[in-house]
Amino acid sequence: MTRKTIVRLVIFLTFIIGGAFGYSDFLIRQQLVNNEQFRLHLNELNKNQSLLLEELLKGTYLLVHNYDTTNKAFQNIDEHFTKLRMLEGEQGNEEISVQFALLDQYINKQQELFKKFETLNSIIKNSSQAIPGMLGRYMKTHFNEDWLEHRNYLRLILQVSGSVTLAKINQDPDYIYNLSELITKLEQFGFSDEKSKKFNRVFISHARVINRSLAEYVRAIDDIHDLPLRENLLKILEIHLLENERIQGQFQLINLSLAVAFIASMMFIMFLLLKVQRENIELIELQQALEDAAKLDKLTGLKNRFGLLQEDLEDKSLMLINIDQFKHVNDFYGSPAGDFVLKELSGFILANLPDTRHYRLYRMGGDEFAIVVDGDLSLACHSLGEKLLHLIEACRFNFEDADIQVSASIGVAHEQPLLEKADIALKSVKKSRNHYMEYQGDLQFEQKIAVNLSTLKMIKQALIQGRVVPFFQPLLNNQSGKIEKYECLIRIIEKDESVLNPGHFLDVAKESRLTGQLTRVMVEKSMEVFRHNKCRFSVNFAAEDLLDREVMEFVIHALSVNPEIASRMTIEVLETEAIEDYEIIRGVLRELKSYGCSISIDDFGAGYSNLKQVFRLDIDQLKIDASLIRDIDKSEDAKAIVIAIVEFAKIAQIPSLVAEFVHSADVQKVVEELGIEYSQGYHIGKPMPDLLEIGCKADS
Amino acid sequence: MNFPGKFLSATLLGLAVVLPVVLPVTTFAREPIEPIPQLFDYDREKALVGKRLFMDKRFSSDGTVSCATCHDLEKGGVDNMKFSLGVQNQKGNMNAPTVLNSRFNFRQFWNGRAEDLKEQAAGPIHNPVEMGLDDEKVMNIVLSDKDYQAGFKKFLDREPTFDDVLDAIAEFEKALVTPDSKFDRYLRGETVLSEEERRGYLAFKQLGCVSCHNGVNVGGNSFQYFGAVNPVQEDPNASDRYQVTRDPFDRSRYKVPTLRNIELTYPYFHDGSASTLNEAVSMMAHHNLGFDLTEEEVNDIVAFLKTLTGVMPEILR
Repeated sequence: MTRKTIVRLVIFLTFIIGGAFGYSDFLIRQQLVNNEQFRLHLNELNKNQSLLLEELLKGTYLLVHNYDTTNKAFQNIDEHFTKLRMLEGEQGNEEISVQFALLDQYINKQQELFKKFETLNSIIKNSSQAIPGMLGRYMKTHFNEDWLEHRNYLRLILQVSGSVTLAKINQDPDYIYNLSELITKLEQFGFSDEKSKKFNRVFISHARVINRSLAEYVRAIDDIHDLPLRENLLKILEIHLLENERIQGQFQLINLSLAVAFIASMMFIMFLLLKVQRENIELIELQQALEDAAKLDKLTGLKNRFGLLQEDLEDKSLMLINIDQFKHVNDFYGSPAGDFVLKELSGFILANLPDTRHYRLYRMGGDEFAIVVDGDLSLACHSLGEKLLHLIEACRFNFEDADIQVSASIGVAHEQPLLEKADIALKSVKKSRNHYMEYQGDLQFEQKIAVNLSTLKMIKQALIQGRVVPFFQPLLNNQSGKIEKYECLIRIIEKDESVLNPGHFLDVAKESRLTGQLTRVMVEKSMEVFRHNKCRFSVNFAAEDLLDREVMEFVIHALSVNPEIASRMTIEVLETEAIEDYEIIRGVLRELKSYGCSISIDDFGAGYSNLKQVFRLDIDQLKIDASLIRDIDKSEDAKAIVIAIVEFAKIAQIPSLVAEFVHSADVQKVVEELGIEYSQGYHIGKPMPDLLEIGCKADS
Repeated sequence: MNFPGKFLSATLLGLAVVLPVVLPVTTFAREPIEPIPQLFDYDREKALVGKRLFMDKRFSSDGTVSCATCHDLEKGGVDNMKFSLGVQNQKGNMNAPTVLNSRFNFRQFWNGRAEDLKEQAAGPIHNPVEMGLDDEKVMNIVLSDKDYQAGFKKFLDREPTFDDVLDAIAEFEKALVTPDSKFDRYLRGETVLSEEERRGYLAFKQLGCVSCHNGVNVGGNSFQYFGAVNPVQEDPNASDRYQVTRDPFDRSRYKVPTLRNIELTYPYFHDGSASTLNEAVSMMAHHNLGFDLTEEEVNDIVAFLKTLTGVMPEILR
């Protein structure tokens, strides 16, 4: 379960518990109301029971009585009992149900007994009232009659009247134990007169009523009294109270557990909130740590470029320190040595800062460091920079017994954007003899950058629009006196059809790593031009092109599908002095040669050439640098060097030599004298968009 | 004012307020007969529907008998016949008791087999001798009758059932109350009885009639024997209480009939065996009290009984 789920669950539970609380409260109220009602109805039942017993008593001694009252009482009992049952039905206590069943029986029985009592009561009352009344009337009417005749009869009815009255008043049939006997005696009385006969008959019928019904009447009364209704009601009350106590206990328990659960869930929510807060703090700390780490350079422990970018650079100065030729250190001593130097150097610079609070050192990446200098110290930058340059140059970094020496350049900016402007200053430092330069605010740098950017854009457009084209400069075979060969030179035709020389764009192309693409276009288009004739031709390759796998794959594919053209093609390797690994170059050249093309070294003799390496390159042609040829007709030195080169070529078994920059007949003359195979230069022919009419064209 | 004075005046004031209220209630509290209340509750809308149902002869198998056939409200709520004639002129075995003031009876029917009026109402409708119709037929009539529908709609927001029909009839019968009889007005102190009537009432009490005929309905509140002192030869098929309980104690035991409007509800007794009131009084005195009354005594009692005739119910007007 995710924490979100748990939190939702707990909140949901809390609501449920709150709801349960309310519901429980509602139930308690209902329980209280029910209780009150239960007690009320029970009380009413009791009250009506009292009323009934009172009615029973009145019924027995009052001669004149109204039975409506008992009916009303029973009606009330019925109503309250029904309500009591409805109330109890909601709770369903088994004990109470049993008692209710009993109560129901008792009430029905009671009603039945009351009705019986009322019937018997009317009869008994009537007859027990009639008997003494008749006795009185008899005495009144017969007092003056024959006393003797009626003496026994009078005694008899007196006896009957006395026992009946006693039995009725005391509700005790014992007093009429001999009533049957007396009735028999009365029946045996033979009266002569009708009046007396009738009297006796009526008297006997009343006595019979008493004799027949009094015991039953008394029993009905006793039965009513014996009904354990009061006990039953009391029992119901007791059970109800107990049940009530139990329910209240339950409610208390429920409420207690609800309260505990509620508090627990609230506490849990609080705990979660605290936990979330704590985790937030941890997250913030972690984020801070990550940010700090991202701002730190692992190698030197200095803050890195991100760190610098986060600093407020307003009113600050920035010194960018770049180690010159640091790549050489890595290449020569290996990158562990490079790392060592960088680490040592950072410590060294730090140690030589006036203080680290106003001068803050950063490693910008690679071989570049930066010092952010507080604005009010901008004037100190220059002396600090010179001092650091001096100290760095003087410093030796001892790595595994090797003393590594480095020099550095510093570009400084005092105005925003600091980083860009310091970078511009550093770039220009690299091109000058100085090692320290401050961005002066002249627009030269920026203009140059703008030019560079527009040149780059121009090159790219030219590539896309196919305006990168070869121009062809003829080479004269000094032995045959014929134009047999062309050098393909790169040009860009601008939109206004003006022609751009490589001097305008090649540097930018190199910086932008576009030379590979240019070379490919040159190879493709040159081969296409020379497909239709038998001339030889050469295409220029920078050393970088030879190391560029993509370019090489393209060239090799082109050579392999056009073996005839390949056999006429020469690859001119430029800037051989920049070659760092001759072994790789030799391999590449050997592979190219295997496809039938020739290899030529351009500008041979310019600057410092590694003769040994050239010697081993297995090349087909050397092109002698313009600087040697240009003054060959005037300068003995130049001539001597060219002679030496010619000799060198012979020894190295380089079959072909080309003299470049043959710009006059005099130069041509010397070249011919020296036996150089080919001449190239304005004297022979300028680079042209098309091939000359003469020469190899006829062969096609 | 000192304290006792204050107390005295408060007591006097209290008495002055309480006495007028208490006195009328207490004056006749000891009398075994109570006047019919002048105010009584019933649902008039329901009772009016009940009135129409009560009079509707369609509720019998041959369309000749309604409740009112036997309980003719023009004739004191009875038909003045020994035994009533039901459908196909079939004769019943019990004298029709009056519906007037029947709400004050503690049970219904002579043997008290119905607890209340509603329960009673179903009896004659279903009884093949009386009306002889089942619930479904009754409801077909009621539900197809626009006036009944409109009537029920006034107090019922659903389709009426047979139970509602019985309820309406019972409600009508609850309205059949006859207050303001001469005797009731006498009890309330509004009039005086004639000498004859006064003597009759006294005899009624002295002889013991009142021991069974008491309460608001002057009877109708207990079961008693017919022939308690001098037994009467009875039809063994009579619907006595024994027919309900099968308890030998209940043989010849009946609900005491009301004496309200008794002069109108002849012939008398459950078997209609007494055709005049004088006859009935004499018979009762002999069989149930053991006395043979003189003609004068009977006349007095009859005179008293005639004061029990009340004012016909408002709903019949």
